[in-house]
Amino acid sequence: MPVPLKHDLYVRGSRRQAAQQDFVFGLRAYVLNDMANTMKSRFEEKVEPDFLRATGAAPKDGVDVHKAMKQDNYFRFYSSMRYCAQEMVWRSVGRALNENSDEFDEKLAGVQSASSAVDGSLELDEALELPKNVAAIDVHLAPGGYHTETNPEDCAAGALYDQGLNIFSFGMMGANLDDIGHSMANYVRVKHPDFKPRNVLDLGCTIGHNTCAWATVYPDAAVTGIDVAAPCLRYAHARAKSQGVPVHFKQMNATKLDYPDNSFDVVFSSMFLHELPLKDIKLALAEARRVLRPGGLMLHMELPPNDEMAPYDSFYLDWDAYYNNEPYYKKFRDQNVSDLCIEAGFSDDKLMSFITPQYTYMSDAEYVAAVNEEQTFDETTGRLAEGVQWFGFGAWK
Amino acid sequence: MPQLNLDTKGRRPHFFDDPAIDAVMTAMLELMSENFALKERLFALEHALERSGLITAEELETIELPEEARIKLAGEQQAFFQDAFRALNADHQSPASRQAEIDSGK
Ligand SMILES: C[S@@+](CC[C@H](N)C(=O)[O-])C[C@H]1O[C@@H](n2cnc3c(N)ncnc32)[C@H](O)[C@@H]1O
Repeated sequence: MPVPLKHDLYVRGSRRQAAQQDFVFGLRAYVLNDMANTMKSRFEEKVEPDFLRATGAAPKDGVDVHKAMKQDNYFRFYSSMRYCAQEMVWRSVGRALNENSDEFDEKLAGVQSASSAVDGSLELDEALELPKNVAAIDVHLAPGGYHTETNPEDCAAGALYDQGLNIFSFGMMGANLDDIGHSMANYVRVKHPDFKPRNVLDLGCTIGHNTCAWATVYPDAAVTGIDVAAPCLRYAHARAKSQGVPVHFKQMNATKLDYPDNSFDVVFSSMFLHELPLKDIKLALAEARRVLRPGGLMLHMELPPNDEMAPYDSFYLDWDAYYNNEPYYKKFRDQNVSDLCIEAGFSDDKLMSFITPQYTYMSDAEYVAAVNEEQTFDETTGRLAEGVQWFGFGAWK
Repeated sequence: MPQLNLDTKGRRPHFFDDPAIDAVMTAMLELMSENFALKERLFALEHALERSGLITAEELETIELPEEARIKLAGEQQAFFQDAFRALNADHQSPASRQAEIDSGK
């Protein structure tokens, strides 16, 4: 069952709305844990042998597996349920927010007017043009996407994202939804103890949930999150203020950063690149390199690339590309991430990539021990289900 | 806060050859959600009755379930999924094949 978010903007909704969100939360856990396991056995026991008999060869990649699985009724049930659950995430949260909009407004006003000891900021750029990948589609089926706003103070899209993510992640991203940020920042802290970033830039930060993790892990660093979506940034600013975390939020396009060369020690992103067209991914990586100081680190938490995954696991992760309004996702997963970094100007002896367990669900000592063991790509990498491990890649400048 | 739109733009995929099955699945999940919400409310009501013998609307709205009841409800929810979806992974037989089997006296 979802736990209330740990900040002052959380709206629970009526008992009925909370129960409906609880239902979707449990349904997602059932589909992505139990049904996903049954579907895999079904593939191994029936679909793959049938494919082998019919074609004389095993499926060679995720696309082949997808073709074979599309005929299977279990896959169809899994998919239609997962699709409905995704719609129901937004519908149940959206309804609770709509019916309690006055309560939200009061909470927001309370956070905004409170005096604060921390030094965060918000800078919007009204002239910024929204990229097509944001404006043209409802990414992961979220009605209105990241950017829709009906007035200059609107932060509803951010509230929908935050509370929606709390249901969507069915308890797998930490009570503060920041496990990815913590897992990445702590990996760097543990593996590179002498590296002390003075400042950090997070690209495509949305509501700043993972941005804030960097400010917690590196309290001496100035942390900035950028995004193109104003309603998410307004919400991010209020959310960080409510949690007492000093972060600066700026509306900016990651493909055209408004910073001089050599400005940051860390340029980070999470779950960001796969939402960009390939040409923008290349621009964003080149921009990341440009604004990094020599000795700085570019680090992206992402879905694992297809060339590292077994055909079934590759098929499994690509579900979102086909059915969750993620049109750029597969193209990104089909890239070789080292080649992308090299093309952006990083040298091949400065590349880094790793797999890390989740930081949130163990003690610091357990985490240190875990990351000191070599992790390899497998079915748990990047797959939101029990035992998930995150993938990170990047390069030192 | 302005009212959020609840409908996703774009065309909805269908997974079954007949999109009507996808529509039935959608209706079924909504029904299950409604059913779950009703059940949750009943749980709360039972708890309130037990505790005080009195129910006020306000109490019903705000009362928190005790930890054991929360755990019980979560368990029932997962058990319900197992039950309701038991046919998804079953071996199916067409009416024609079943009739042939019965007619042939096997
Ligand atoms: C999936 S979200 C990222 C989520 C977040 N970083 C996390 O860790 O969960 C993708 C974000 O990228 C933003 N975005 C998309 N294209 C962008 C661009 N060219 N420049 C900056 N932000 C962009 C979107 O507005 C959205 O907020």
